[in-house]
Amino acid sequence: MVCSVLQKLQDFMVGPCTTKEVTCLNSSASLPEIASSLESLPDEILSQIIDHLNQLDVVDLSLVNSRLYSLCMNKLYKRKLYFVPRGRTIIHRKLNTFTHTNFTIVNDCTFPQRGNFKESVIIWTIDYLQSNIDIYNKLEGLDQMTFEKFSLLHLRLNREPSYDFVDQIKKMANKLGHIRNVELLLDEPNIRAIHDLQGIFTGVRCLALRIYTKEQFPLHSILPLFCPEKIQEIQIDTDRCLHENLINLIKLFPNIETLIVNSISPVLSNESLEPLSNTRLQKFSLFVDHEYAITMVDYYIGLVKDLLNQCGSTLQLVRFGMYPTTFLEVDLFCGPKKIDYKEVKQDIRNLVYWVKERLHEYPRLSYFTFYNYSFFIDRQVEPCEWIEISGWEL
Amino acid sequence: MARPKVTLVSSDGETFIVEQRVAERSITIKSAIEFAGVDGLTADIEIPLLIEGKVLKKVVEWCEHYKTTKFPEPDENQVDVLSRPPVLTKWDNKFFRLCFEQDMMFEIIMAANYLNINQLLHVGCTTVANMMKGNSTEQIRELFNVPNDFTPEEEAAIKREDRWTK
Repeated sequence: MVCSVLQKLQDFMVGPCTTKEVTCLNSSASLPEIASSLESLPDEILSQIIDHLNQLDVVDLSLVNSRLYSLCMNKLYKRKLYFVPRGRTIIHRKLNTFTHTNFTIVNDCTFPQRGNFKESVIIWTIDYLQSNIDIYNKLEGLDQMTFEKFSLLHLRLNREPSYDFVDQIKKMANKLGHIRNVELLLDEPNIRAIHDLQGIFTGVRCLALRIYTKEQFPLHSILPLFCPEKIQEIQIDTDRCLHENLINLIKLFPNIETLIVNSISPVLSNESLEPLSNTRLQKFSLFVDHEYAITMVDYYIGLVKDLLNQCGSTLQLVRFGMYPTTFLEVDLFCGPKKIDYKEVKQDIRNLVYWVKERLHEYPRLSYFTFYNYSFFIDRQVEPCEWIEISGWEL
Repeated sequence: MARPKVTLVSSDGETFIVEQRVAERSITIKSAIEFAGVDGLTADIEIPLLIEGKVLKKVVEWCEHYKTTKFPEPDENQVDVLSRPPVLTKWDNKFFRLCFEQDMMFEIIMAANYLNINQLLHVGCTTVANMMKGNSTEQIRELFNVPNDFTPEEEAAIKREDRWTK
């Protein structure tokens, strides 16, 4: 028995396996090389190692020798670029965050003068660009490069895209099929221009909409831009109500798993929520920005609760957030970024105790937000310990 | 009836008798076992491997340690760069530190690649990367004993070229 098995296993006596699939190699395959030094590792393993480094470490490593230089340049230039023309992103040797190790951060508006992007895998975002001219220029620049293997994953279209810009997008349509994330700012002129882009973003999985229309915005009107069945995540920011209620919204995207609604005004109260079945929705987040938000906690949570009930047991509240009242909002937006806790003390106190009283209803509720600050809910301790504010007892 | 044992035989003749689930941490070995007995293993088997005994011993040690751990399956739909790196446990750190001291770290990484033990390979790569982090070029050369093959002019040119990264 053992002999026959061994006979069969001859084919599995393999040399270094360079792919993740199991490969049957014949018995004449070479012996694995003895790898007693860094240099003896094959390129694919060295590349895996380099993938864990931030760009500063990659640059230092690239100077070690010519082989490492070549591999490091592959990471620096041919993959994962992140353009941040405004608002510099800190690049520091000790920063090894997900972003720092996965993206090369370029803190200016110009491309590195190498023009060697032909094997680029990802340019993460043409992002933070404040005008369509910037985007236009960027796209124009990109268009001059060779795109065969280029895959643009994330695109943000900001306010006032001109028709020229739309034309430019349309010209590049065959290169935009890889886009997975699209962020659209929708105001009236923008919507008119964007309607010309039908069918271009059919690969999109994640959609962020910033809606600034004066009237109710019919979300279904932009569906032809996408393939609604493919969309798994939607984030909507609006200071108006949507034409669709939340349930209808979910129905428009049958495979949606995550829905985040920010700044929705309280217009849903009279809507009857139809029963919802077969949803794949797993995460729902409602972030309220309303001048009376702090006094309407129960109202908003009622909305969420209705939705939770409709969506079945898989959907559970994990976060509840709100902005402070208008008066405080003005202070907070105009002033320093730190909250003046004295000003909002009463609001936070109300919120914390409101949350505490309802913890048993929402077993998955794990944090709440106030303004842009998130507070973790530790059910083992008293609410006064959820927020660290010295000398201040809730 | 006792469960069949898997005997891993190193290139220098050393044998390691392990449970099937330990051996099957390696996708390559798992495939070999499946190939040998489609309906499951019914008898002990020997699997010859082209790995030195001292290295295979460490690999088996790692597989034994994680024999019951269920590692997350790689998400095929997720773009590789978006997948999170594996978390290094204290045990992993100690394991690889010892391997490095014994001059075996790279051989283990190669063995993990050869045997298709993804988690071990990822942890090994992460460990090497962690050793590089924060070190200057000269320190990396010294730590890993890599000679410099650049001329001073080439080195200066690269430094100039990469200024934008900082």
